[in-house]
Amino acid sequence: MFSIQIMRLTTEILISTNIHIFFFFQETKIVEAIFLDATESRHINLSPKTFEKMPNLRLLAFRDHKGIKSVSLPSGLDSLPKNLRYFLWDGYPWKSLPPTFCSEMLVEVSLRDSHVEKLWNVELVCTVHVFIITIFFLF
Amino acid sequence: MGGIGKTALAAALFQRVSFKYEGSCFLENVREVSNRHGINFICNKLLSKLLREDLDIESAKVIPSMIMRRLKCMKSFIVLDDVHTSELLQNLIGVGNGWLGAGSIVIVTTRDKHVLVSGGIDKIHQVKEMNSRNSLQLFSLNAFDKVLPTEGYVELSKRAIDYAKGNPLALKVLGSFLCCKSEIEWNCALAKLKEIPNAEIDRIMRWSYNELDDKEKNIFLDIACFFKGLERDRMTKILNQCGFFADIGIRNLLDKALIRVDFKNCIQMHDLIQEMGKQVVHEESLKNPEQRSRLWDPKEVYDVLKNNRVRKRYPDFPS
Repeated sequence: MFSIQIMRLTTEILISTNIHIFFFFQETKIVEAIFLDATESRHINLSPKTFEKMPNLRLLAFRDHKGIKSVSLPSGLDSLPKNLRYFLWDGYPWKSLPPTFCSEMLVEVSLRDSHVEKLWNVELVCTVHVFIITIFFLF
Repeated sequence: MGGIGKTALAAALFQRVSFKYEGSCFLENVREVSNRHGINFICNKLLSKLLREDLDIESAKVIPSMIMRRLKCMKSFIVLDDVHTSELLQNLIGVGNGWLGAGSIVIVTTRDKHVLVSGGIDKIHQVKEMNSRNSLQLFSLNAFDKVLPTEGYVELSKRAIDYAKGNPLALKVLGSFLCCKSEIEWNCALAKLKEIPNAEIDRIMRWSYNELDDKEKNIFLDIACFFKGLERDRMTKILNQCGFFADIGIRNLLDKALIRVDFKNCIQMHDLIQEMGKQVVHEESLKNPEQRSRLWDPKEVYDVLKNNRVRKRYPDFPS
């Protein structure tokens, strides 16, 4: 919910400041696994819809080193692929995961140094085998 | 030369003697890690391990004198695996290991002898190829599960080990590849090997890979591009959930010597085999990373995550 509110807010700001850009997305059906080991030199801002067109993504890992954040989500995240089995995101920046995210397939979740306060409802969490979560900051 | 056993030898020595030293550190894949995270990262890792505390030094070139003093006072045992430049070596251990205390030992493995010569290393040991007797034993252990070839396969085995040229990795993979195959298949494989004189190891590994079924191929590629080093049981659960029947798949990859299980029960893969796996994925589409099944190169990951966003139009501003 939080991310959706932020999204709306961002959209409103965009409209009010007359910067109005629409993005469309290409399908990237082939990609099944993404592994990113943070490097000092690069940084990327992900769009909320980044994973919408990656339906076959099974394994996703964004790994940080010494707190170097290589991936940011300035406008939140709308969705995560429903086929995800392994999900690692060091320093995941929002308080919750996308509300539409279904964890049925997930086996392992690792959210070190994250800001996550709430995952999903309890029964979904039970299906996940390994949970590694350290909360970075709590309001 | 890759696969000859440099790292294995250094690791065996480290395991045997490092406990006798006040500080010890085994840095694996220095070349890869330094390319990815920079020299400071490696330097901090080394010093943190030796001094047993979490250090965060900003520049490898300026090491605080307090730390230098502590290093100088202790006997250390260090292995730097796969170092590719002498500058890197000097940044890590000082010119002529001047930073380390008396009685310290540094073992450096590299594919380039110049690194050692210009890095001021005193003793250089060139890891030799296995002799023919040991080659036959290692090969037989993988091909027949015993130290000598089965009757009727002695000549064929000798022909096979000629191609491996005393390289233990090649011997293992080739032996495992030929394991349980008929005499006709052996002859056919060896005739094929004869035609490709200079790419033996890579070609042998490819054969092993090509023989896997689709699910095993997926497991192999997931390990090469994503999971190398993960604990076996955890990996099995994830890959089972992917529908790859991982219990039997991983067993088969072990039988083919494409992966191994280390003492921590983690799945490991030799660099050369991993390289071959990544190459297989690379060949799915030479030019377009977004057309590949797995992405690991930071630059390509950034490009794909960026470029799947296509800016189509700028609509009129609302009035």
